[in-house]
Amino acid sequence: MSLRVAACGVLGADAETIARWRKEPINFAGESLSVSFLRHADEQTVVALRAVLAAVSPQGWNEMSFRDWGVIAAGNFLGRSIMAQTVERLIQEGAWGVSPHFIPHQSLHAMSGTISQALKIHGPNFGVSGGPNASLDAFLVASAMMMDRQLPGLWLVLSGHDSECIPPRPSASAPPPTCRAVALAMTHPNAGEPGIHVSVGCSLPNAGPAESLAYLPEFHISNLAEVLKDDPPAPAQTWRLGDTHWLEVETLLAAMEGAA
Amino acid sequence: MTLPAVCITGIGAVTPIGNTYAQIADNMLSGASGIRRVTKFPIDDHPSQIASVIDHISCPAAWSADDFASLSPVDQATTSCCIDALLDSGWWERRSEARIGIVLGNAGEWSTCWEIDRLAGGDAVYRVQGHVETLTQRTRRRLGLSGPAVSLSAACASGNYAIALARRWLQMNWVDVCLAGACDMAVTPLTLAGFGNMRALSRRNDEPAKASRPFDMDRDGFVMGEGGAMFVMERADSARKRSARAYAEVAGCGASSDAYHMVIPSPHLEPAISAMRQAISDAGIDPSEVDYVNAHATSTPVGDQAEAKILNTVFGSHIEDLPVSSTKSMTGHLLTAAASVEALACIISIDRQKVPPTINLDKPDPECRLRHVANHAESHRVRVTASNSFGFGGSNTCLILRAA
Repeated sequence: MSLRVAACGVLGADAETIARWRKEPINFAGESLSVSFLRHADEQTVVALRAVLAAVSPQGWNEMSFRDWGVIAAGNFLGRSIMAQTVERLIQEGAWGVSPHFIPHQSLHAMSGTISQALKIHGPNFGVSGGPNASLDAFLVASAMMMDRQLPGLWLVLSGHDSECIPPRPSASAPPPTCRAVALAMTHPNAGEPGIHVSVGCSLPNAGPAESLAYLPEFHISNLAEVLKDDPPAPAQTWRLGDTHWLEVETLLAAMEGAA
Repeated sequence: MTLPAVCITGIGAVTPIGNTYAQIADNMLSGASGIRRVTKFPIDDHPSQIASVIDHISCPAAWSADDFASLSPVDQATTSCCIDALLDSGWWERRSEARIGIVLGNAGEWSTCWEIDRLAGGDAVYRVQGHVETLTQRTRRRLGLSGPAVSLSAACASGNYAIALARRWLQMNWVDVCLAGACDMAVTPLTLAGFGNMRALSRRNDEPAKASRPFDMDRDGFVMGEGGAMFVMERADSARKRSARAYAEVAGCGASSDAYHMVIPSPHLEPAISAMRQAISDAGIDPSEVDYVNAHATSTPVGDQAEAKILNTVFGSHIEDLPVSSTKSMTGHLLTAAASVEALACIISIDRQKVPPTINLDKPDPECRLRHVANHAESHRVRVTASNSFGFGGSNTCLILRAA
């Protein structure tokens, strides 16, 4: 199963930047979202949406319709900081202290839902995994979603922090680590089409999973970020997705003009 | 491209109205309610004090009681559902011989875990988690399965997405067998307060069994529930080859997003209509071939009325003869697990040739003009079912099951 990365956005932001982005108006396809659109969103959602917009702009896609696309978002411990604050308020103030915004904006599907709303995407949207291996799981899901070619494209959005983002205890304060997001606009490739291609497959049926995958390095989101920013492009690279699948990223160059 | 048919050959469930297929079917068809006053934590300051809760999950016969007792409630529910489904399908003893995957719907694995821990005096949310296993990874390891395992969430639509994804993995030959469904043990102080403060929950605290009343004029919100259902899915040809009992074929799946608001229901019904039409088209049937609709209907005025309009649009004149019910009237709303338990309701209707009722439907809302199955199950020829599940944040899904 092979997909083309038609556009990508890779971003990192510290707490100050995220606070600024949260308040900045977002414009897409001629419409402005309310300035309070991201008010209750998790910081990973804020950075993820910015990564999507960072992928959109260089392609001149600001007026493009993503109506029939899908969105899959894989955060890493999404909502943890707000969760810690909310449970402390629950302990101190009882049921009254729990914000009605907590569940809609801090659940696993909140990031994909917010992106679908911002880009007016009416295809499927959902969150995947949410744990330490979220990006790995997201590729297994994304490939399956694109299998029957019903979706013209799919936003695959991965997010997390440079190191584990542990909420400060109520009495302490510490700057959180940088929050990062990678947004990939995945489309169906035409044969030989130049650009970055991502293939996902399962281990050879006749070999035990361990035999066919053991020699591959384990995939991590940072691997992908490195490949995406490589110039000139790196040769094809393959990683192991858990112990059942592999992921290959390959950059196909445009054919030389006049070449046979 | 013709893709192989996929069917359900095993069922495992933990619900507020029973923990075995026969028990759930009997209770659902007799109109039993699983909703009562919450007693597992203090509720005095909660606006809504009722839910359909699971007090105890029995250890599966194939598992160690000591090990099972040490698991968290959601681990117990998931493990129990998966083991029972594998036992039911005949795969349990042979599980090492096939690539068995897991697709599990669950929206709040980490937050539930941290909340329970913190309220018990722990500090896990403030400690390094490292490369801690997810619920699906733990379940996979615990059961000794070798296929891929992922969790996903589309809020209340999660279970339908899980079944749709498992079907694709089977069609892509990524797995030989796949466990799919959803489990959610989310009736906790924080979620009960969060939904309560959102004013989404019923406050009929003095009449718990009458609180969930989809399509009824006197409804005042949904009632939270917990539990789950997992299904063993496999390609129909493989199931036939081993003479497995096929409960139903997963004939069609459809999904869309409203892209409107994270909480407020969209006034635009086209995306939900589109999800239903996709599912019907995917199943290769005409809308008139659907014999029963298990509605999403949560017992909120806006949502119930919107769904009634959606059903009228999709089915046209067929809606006058098409039985519709909401089993949430009995089970409550199991949140991310709702769709999978409602898929089970559809299987029951196919198996028993009876349509489960919407209980507490005493005064049907005239804005919900449907062929209701009010208060009592009805005998009906059921070959094809449609189950709607619409999630917070505007996720719309529809699942078509067909007699195998």
